[in-house]
Order: sequence, then structure tokens, then C-alpha cells
Amino acid sequence: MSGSMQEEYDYDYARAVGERALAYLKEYALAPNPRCYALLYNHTAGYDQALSRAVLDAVHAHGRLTPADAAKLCDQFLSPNGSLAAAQDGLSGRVDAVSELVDRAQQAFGGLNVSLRDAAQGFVHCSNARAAQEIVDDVVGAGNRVIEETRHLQRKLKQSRHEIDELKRSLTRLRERSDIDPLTRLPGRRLFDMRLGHAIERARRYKVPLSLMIADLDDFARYNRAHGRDIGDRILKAVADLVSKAVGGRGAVARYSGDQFAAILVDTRLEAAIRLAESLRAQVLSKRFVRRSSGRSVGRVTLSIGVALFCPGDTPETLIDRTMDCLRTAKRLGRNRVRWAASTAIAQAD
Amino acid sequence: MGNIGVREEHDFDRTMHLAELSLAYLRRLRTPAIPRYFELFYAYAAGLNKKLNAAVDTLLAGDSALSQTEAAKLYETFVAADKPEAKLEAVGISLGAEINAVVELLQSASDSTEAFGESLQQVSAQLGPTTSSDQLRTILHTLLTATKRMAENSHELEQRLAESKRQISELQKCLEQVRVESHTDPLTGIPNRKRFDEGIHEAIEEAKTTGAPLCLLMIDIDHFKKFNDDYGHQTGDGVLKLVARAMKANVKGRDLLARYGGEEFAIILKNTSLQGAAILAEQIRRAVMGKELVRKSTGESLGRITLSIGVATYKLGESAQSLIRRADACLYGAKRLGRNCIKAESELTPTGASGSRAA
Repeated sequence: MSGSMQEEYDYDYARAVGERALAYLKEYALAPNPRCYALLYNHTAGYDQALSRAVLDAVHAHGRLTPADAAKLCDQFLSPNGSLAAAQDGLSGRVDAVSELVDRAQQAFGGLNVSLRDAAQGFVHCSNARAAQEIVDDVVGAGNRVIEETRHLQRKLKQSRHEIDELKRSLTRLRERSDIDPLTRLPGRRLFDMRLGHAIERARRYKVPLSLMIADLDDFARYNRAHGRDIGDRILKAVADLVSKAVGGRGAVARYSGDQFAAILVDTRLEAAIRLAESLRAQVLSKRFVRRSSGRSVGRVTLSIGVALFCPGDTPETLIDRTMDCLRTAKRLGRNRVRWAASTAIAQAD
Repeated sequence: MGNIGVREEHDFDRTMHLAELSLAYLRRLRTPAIPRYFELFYAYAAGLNKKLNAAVDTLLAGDSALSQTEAAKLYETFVAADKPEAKLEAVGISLGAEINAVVELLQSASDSTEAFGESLQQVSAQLGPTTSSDQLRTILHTLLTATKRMAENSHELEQRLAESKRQISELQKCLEQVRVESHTDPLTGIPNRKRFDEGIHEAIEEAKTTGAPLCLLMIDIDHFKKFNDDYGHQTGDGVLKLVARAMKANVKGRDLLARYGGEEFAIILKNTSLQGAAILAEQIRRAVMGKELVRKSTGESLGRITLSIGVATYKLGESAQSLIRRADACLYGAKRLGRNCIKAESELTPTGASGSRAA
């Protein structure tokens, strides 16, 4: 594995891109606040064709990147400020609505308390059966009305909860945007760890199968050295796409580190996971990567893949460790292959 | 408009200063200059997030390198969590939990009310025309006991609902805080440009409806760039805070004082005539001029701060942009008149020549 297993980002590369981005910002006399820096950083690194095109168009139109244009591009390509305001208003409305519903509940039961107090008084001073029956009828009637009101309130509360879930989801999406890798457009490690935790919880509770796959580009540093960063980046992007397509709807893919991709395969048994990994390996092997300028091939690109099945008692850490062990074994045995573990003991089968 | 260029430049200067500081920190700590970590150290350099600065200072006191894992954690804890979307998400989660609690509460209350009704009816079914007075007494006693017990339940429910109500009003406060934060300039604590943009539209709508006079003050700190250049950005920040404080002391609650740009401020004066606005402008000019800037560490005097102020009054039917432009033009005029003065527009001469100059 290219020694960058722990650290996700390359210091020197980031520094070069950052300095270039800052130079652009100076040239455009655009205040380098974090949002504008992020915009120009992504543009300089060439991560997003659409973003770069938009930046160049804007510069061409005005001779520089105006603050107004920058704000628009940030909203479009980074995270939108607009939906935040909408979520804020939505939440505010929901909080007010729920507050009102609780008010009504308080009123309803306050009223019931009055009826109960009256009934108690009535029972104390009651002198005949008919009077007693009347008191009973009154208080039971009051109780029934409150039950009716309660049902209505519960319905409204559940409706509010549903609306809040929607708002929460959009807020989560907004928040998660900061952990999306701009090159591959995949979520990063932080998001991945969170999702793995959820997936394991689900597998544990519903007793459904769960597999984890970690794929590592073999000898990736070599491409950067031999052909330069852009080739390396293009390869990463292409492999990321292949991984996403292979996994499809079966689970979540993430860029786990510099040259590693991880996939959580829900409701997937080991056999299916192995087939998926094997198919992915073959696809990457057969893909031809060529330099755009010369049309010459940059050589073979291969993946080593580790696959592990979730076992009862597994935590995210133990599952990841086991998968990484399989991955390391695959590397040791010559790369360009898949290794898996069916249980907490590693299998060496081929 | 000359002023606009100057305003942007100062924002640019300060931002560039912070950006360069951030990149210097990243270099020193060998942390990659990806946008997220740039933002982290930009915030650290700006010094407005006290908790972040305390945490980073502690970390830096120990090591001379910052691992990406540590940087990521700092970002998550002090920057991402501070963002409105994170705070709003937290409110959403709490609200969801509160709703669940109340729904459950109501369900159990409903169940016990139903059970109570049933038992009461069961007992009272024993009543009839032939019931003896002894039997009646016994039955009444049973009914009373059941009723008292139900009343206790119901009372407890009311208390738990009241508790929920309290939690919800806490959430309302949280949301309000997020809204206020998004409208507040972090350095000076006064409303920010976003709030101003909203405010000017609100004020114009109101003036259109009520016909009351509406005035706008555009205020600019004289030679602000020089302060920054001569004494550094920290002093520049101090000047901004001082001016904001002085203005705030002279402005009524219903008027909107806002930080319009780098060293430019604006005040929206509702229900105020041009004459009244000019008087207030002069009052503010004097108040700020009366303050001497002293460097805390050395006690040396850094001179006085003066303001140039433009005053314009709303013309029925005009847009916010038009009003701002005219106030800006007056501000520009004040600068041309030698600074440290106010210039109110006049309806008598179309070129707006009249103004009052301080001695």
C-alpha cells in the first residue's frame, strides 16, 4: 500500500494548489475568505469540470471574479446558503406548532382535572343513587371528550414529527456536504465511519447480513511519480466511478483514504460480496487508461481488495480491522486479487 | 462609486491578512491546505471563536505538528458544530425526541382515562332504585377513591406536559439565537449587512404605507486604511469596535444600526425628518471624535477617530438601491469637503450642495 494509509491528504500537493488558488484570488482582488478559497481551490485542482468552466466563464465576462459571481458559484457548487434559511424557517414553524399542540394538551387535561375535582366533591356530598349516576355520567363524558382531543393531538404531533424528519434530512445533507471529497464526489472517512456504525446497528437488530469491502489501488504512488498528479487524479476518479457503479444500490461507497475506497454492502452475504469484489477487480484490470495528449497507455491499473462479513460481536473497528487484514494479505500475495474473511478467523482461500 | 471600491479593498486587506496567517499556520504544522483546514486556521487567526482558539493553543503548546486526524477533530468540534446547519440539526433532533415523549405521554394518559371511565361505569352499574344507603355509601367511597387516583395521574401528566413546554421553549430560544447570529457581525456585535439589506426593504415598505419620513445615514471611518497600515489589523479591529459602540450608544432601539462593509456603517432612521437625521449624524460625529484611541499595552495615544457621514431622506416610490446611492453620494461629498463632517442632501439645490461642517 502507498504509505498514506493513515493520512488522507497529501501535504505538498495541497500546498501547491493552495498557493495557486491564493494567487488567483489576489489577481481577481477577491477576498480570500474560506468559501472563496474553497471555490478557487477546487477550480485550481481541476476537480470539477463544471465548476472550472463556470469560473472561467465568469472571469471572461467581467475580467475578474466579482464577489457577486463568487457568491453565486459558491452557492451552486459548494453548499447552498438558501436551503439553510428554508430549513430554519421550517423548523421555527414546526417548533411553534408543537408548542401550540402541547398547550392544547395542557388545556384538555387541565379541564379534566376540574371535572375530576367537581366529581370528587359531588361524591362526598352525594345523597342518592340517581345523583351519583349523574356525576359518573358527567365525569365519564368529560373523560371521553379528552380522549377524543388527545387522539387528534397525537395525529397532529405525528404529522409534525414527519415534517421535522424531512427538515432534519435536508440539514444533515447540508452538514454532510463538508465531508464530500471534491475529486471523486464520494463521502470521506468521517461520513463513512458514521454510516458503518448505523449499518452495523441495523444488522445487529434485524439479524440481516452485512459485508464490508475495502479496495486499494496497487502501487498508486507510481502513477503520480511517473505520469504526474493529473493522471493520478483521473485514475482515482475513474476507479471511484467504477466502484460506485459496481456497488450500485447495495450500499454506501466512500473514499476512505488517499487511494482506498470502502463500501458497506447491506443485506449482502459474503458470497455475493466476493462476487462483487471480483467483478470490480476484473473491470479495473481491463480498463485502459491513456494519456490524452499522446494516446499512449499509462499501464495496468489494478486493485487489491479485502472483504469481510459482519459477525455478531463486531464493532466498526473490529470489522474494519479484519477487512484491512484481508487487504494486506491480498497485497502480500501479489496484488490484483481479492481476499476475504468469513468469520473472525481469516480465510486464505482462493 | 469611489466609496464602494474602497470598501471592498479593506475587506480584501483584512481577509488576505487572515488567509496568509492561516496558510502560515498550515505550513508550520505541516497540515494540508485543503479548504476545510484552511477554514479552521482562518477562524483561529480571526480569533472570534474563543473555544476554538483555546483548544488549538493547548494543542500547539505540546506538539509542533498537527496530525490530520487531530485537525479533522478540531474542525468537527469547533467549526462544523458552530455552523448554523449543525445547530439547526441538533434542534431538529431534540424536537423529534420531545414529540416522541409527548405522544407517548398522551397515549398513556388516554389509556388511563379510558380505564378510569370504564371502572367508574362498572361500579355505578351497581346503583339502582333498590340501593340501600349503606350500599350507596360503599359505592360512593369506591367512586371517590378511583376519582382521586385519576386526578393524581392527571395532575402528574400536566406537570410532565409543562416540562415538555419548557424544553420546547428552550428550542425556540436556540432557533432564535441561530437567527440572531446569522444577522450579527461577529466583530462588533451589531447587525450585519444581511440584516441591513432586509431592514432597508422593511423600512421602505413601512414608509410607503404610513407616509412617515425615513432617513438613511451612511458612515465611513476616515483614514481607516492608515490605522491598519500604521498599527496593524488588531488595532484596526479595535477601532471598528469602538466606533460601533459609540454609535450604538447614540441610536434609539427602533433605529437600525448596521455594519455595512469593511469600515462603513449605516443607520436606518424611521419616522425621522432630514433635519432630525442631520442632528443625530452630527451628534454621532462628535461622540466618536471625542474618543481618544490609546494602545492598551503601551498607553500611547494613537490619535482620534473621525467619521464622514452622508444623510439622505427617502423619496416616495424610490428603490432601496436609489436611496443608498444618494446617501453614498452625500458621504462622498463629505469626504470631498475635507472629512470629519456630515453632509445632508438638500432639496433646494439639485446638486445637493448644502452641508454642515465641523469647526
